[in-house]
Amino acid sequence: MVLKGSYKGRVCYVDLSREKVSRWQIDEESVKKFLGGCGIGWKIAADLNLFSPEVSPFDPENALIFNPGVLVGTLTYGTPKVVLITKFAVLATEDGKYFIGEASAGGRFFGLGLKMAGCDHLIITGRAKRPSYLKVTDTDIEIISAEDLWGKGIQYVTNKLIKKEGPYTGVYAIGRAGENLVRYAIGIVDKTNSLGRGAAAVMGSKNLKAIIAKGSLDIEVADPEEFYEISKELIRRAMSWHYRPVWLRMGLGAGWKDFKYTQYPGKWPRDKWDKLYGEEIRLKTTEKVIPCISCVNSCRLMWKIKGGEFDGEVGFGSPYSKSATSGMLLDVEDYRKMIHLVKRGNDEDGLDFYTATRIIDFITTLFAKGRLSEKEIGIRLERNYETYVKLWEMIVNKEGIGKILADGWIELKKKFNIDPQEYWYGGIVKGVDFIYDARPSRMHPLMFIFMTRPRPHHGGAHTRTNSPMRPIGEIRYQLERWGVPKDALERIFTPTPYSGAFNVGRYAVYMEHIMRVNNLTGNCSIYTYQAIVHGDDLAKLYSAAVGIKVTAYDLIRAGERIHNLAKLFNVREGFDRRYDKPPETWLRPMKSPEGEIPLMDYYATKVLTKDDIEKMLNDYYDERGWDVERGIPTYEKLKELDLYRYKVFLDEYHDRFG
Amino acid sequence: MRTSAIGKTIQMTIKIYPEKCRGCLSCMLACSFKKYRVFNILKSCIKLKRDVETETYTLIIDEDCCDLCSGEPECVNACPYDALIFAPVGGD
Repeated sequence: MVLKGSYKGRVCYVDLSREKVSRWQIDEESVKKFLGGCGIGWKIAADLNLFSPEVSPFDPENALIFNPGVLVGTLTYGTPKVVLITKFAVLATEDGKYFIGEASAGGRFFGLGLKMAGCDHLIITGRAKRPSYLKVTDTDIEIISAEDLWGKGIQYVTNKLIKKEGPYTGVYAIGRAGENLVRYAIGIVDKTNSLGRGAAAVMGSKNLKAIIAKGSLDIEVADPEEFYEISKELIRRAMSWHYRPVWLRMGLGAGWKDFKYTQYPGKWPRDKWDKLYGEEIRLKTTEKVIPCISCVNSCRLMWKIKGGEFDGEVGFGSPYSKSATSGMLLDVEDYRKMIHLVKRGNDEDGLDFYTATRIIDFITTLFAKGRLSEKEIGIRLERNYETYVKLWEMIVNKEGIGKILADGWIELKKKFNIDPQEYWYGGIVKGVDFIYDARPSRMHPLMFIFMTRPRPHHGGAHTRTNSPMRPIGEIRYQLERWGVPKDALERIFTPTPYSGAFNVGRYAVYMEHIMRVNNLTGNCSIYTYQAIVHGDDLAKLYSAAVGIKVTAYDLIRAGERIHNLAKLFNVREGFDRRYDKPPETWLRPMKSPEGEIPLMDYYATKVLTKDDIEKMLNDYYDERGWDVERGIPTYEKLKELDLYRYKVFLDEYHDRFG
Repeated sequence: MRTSAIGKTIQMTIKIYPEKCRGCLSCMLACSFKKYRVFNILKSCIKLKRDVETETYTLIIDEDCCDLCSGEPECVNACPYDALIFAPVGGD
């Protein structure tokens, strides 16, 4: 059976060690169950038994699976996402566990190039014999020497490859941090979109500097007339969004005015922060706002620093919340200095800005307090910008103390007996720090799923609840449009003393399903965050594009199946309820010049305790139909979701952990 | 060609405003779809020229290929950023 739509189930497999390439086709029955994109990506991983517990992130056997979304390359309002599945390099537990997860990124050419090259899934295993890049086209997949690119910055490498291969070439590239196996290194898609904190080091371990993709194949849709009609209607809707003019001018910074205090780090008074890092000041650096493929609301920035020691520097991505939050944490008053570090992270070194700046904040503060000594760490640390830049360099190059810092939060505990849970902002779960903090943000569902699924950013998990204080009717309406069954809605919107007006734990289950659907279709979650596009819209678009008729409920049901399968990989590693816990910092009221900011429920009606969060977790596992005590799927759940053939994952968990 | 209110025939063309182009590829996707019912930027009559260093763009229309979609150019309809306008030849 040949699939006739925008998802064709074509798998491209590259073994770098053996220098072998193979291609095969996914059957239609699998597509009906997993829908395509990263949904099928997880199924392939399970069928090939990738990511087994004995495989470490840097072993050649670890796999990178790139999955462009089902709708990528069609003309829509904005469905550009590519999802990468791998065993991430960030150490998650002291006893050596690593989380298997997915990261997503938009872009203009990379996802499009993969699909035009005939790869709905690109799987890479092994290790290249020398520094290389992978060139993916519809006629061939080549491993090409990248010795001249090794050690070079991401922007330089991307530009060079595009100039060599043509303007429509998609590029995913890593910097020196990835090459040097810094565990929280990032890679960048098409110069503008970051993909995978912890995945770039896996690229580095495979001697892969970049992947480029371009092709000539058509992207078809199963019912062209129907598809175009639905898509044009959604485009019209997206273009009439009242906030669109602000997005066109400011990109991702558009929302900053509204949500900045939800990211308030609590060190400066708010008016000082507004003065130093307000949108008007930073608009001075914005050169242009770049959209992903066919997106009608641009969000990526191209910026240029004006004045100061970094005058004239040009970078890409989104420097707003990054520089503002870490600028306050590090007491750097000149926003241009922080934007320079964003450039180092995104455009040159490929180092995750959040983790790097927060680890630097942590250890320089502990040094100042006498908790760390020069004798212990081999360097004298000051609380100033020069020291931060020096530490950044040491991390990227893994020199001196940088070698330990490059291994992330858990290693700090192992080497210096410093508990990362002491860190004061964001919070750390399974070795990953978050970009937001639940105290200024309040306990909304995205915060909750940071505990159950440790990705540092939204990764597709964006609904109206990410904005503070949305009316309850609006929150309910969105779930209705996603086909959430009535009985579940009743449970979610029954107030509880521990969760407030709606049940965050139960809501989070459906938010995770929505995330899976966004990621597998390629739908940018800004459109679900702003409630411009709903599950029923996406179901119509998917049906016309792929030729398999689905409803919104079918989508989230498949999302549930995919989520359970992805969870099974991590259950096999031992990630059960013991690891789904709130960061300790959330439970300590933030002391700020504006007063204490404790952890509160979404509508700020009550201060939350650890016991409240445990009750939310009980509800979450119960709503999932999982074993509440252990926080893992049951055999019955696997049968219900037609996943019982993967029961061996649960068997292995019970063999190893009882 | 269009007919004006007083019955005069007006020559129409696609005017390109490169400074407004953000490089989203919508015009190319729409063009290939209109012509072939598939999405393929290589089959589009309108091409994006990209200066990769500055991320600035120019759009070029292949006149041998483009028939202005019989007076309803799909690339113009699809452009979300007003970089393409269907307007009478001459004037501004």
